[in-house]
Amino acid sequence: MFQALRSRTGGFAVTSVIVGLALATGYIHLGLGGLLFTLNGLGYIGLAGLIVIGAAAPMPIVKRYSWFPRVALAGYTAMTIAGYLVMGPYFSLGFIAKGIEVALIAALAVDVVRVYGSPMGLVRTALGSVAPVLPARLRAFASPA
Amino acid sequence: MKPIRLSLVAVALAAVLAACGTTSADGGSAPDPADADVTVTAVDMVFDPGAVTVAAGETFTIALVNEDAMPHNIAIYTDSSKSEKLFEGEMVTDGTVVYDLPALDAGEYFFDCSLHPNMTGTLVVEG
Repeated sequence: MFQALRSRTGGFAVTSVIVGLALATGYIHLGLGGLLFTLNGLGYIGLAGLIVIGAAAPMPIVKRYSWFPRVALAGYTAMTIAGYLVMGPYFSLGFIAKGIEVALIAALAVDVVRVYGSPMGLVRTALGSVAPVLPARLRAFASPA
Repeated sequence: MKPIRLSLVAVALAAVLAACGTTSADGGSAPDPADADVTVTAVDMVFDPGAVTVAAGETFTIALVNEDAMPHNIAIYTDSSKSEKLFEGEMVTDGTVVYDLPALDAGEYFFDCSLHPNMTGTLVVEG
């Protein structure tokens, strides 16, 4: 399955799903009003933009750090889900948004395996991209960027 | 035969739509603010009025008229510390819901919107 997703078309499809899900939950949060939800919605839209740039921009510097928006969006989504579980309130639109966010994390996981082979591959690539500023012990662990 | 089938489908659809319009989730009933004991309007992220009064020891109803585009509800607590929740109504978006509430002892209670904690009010229960 991941072999098929490694094609250009597969990559476009996975990225489209990620961006679509991020924009969907961002839109829901913007519609809830209030500062917290508005900032949360804007965060999703900004990170969706970074995902698009990371996937589409041909510059080597962008390619080098394209792991960052994936990690940032996954972390941001996980924090949003955790915040909801702690604070609520639990109502239908909230559950729909959390369903979208769980699907978003799953799509990001597929994307990580598609691009880096495994989560460890992503860690190696991330360390490789910042290798010059890493201690020697960690530099040995990093993939060349 | 076909017109009869079509009519049956139309009647079933109308019944489903009617049910959707009047059925409520926890804490709400058919929206008819005129029958409610008190009415609170949510507009521009503020409850108006900010304080409502009901009689002690009697069940009562509160109509929430949401004029905002985002969902709101009313959640009632013993006080502003929100340590003890007495009631949490269903969310309503750009519409009206009537909450059925249990009888309360005389005193002042705190209410807010579960989604927007800055929207607050006071429920005065008079003995």
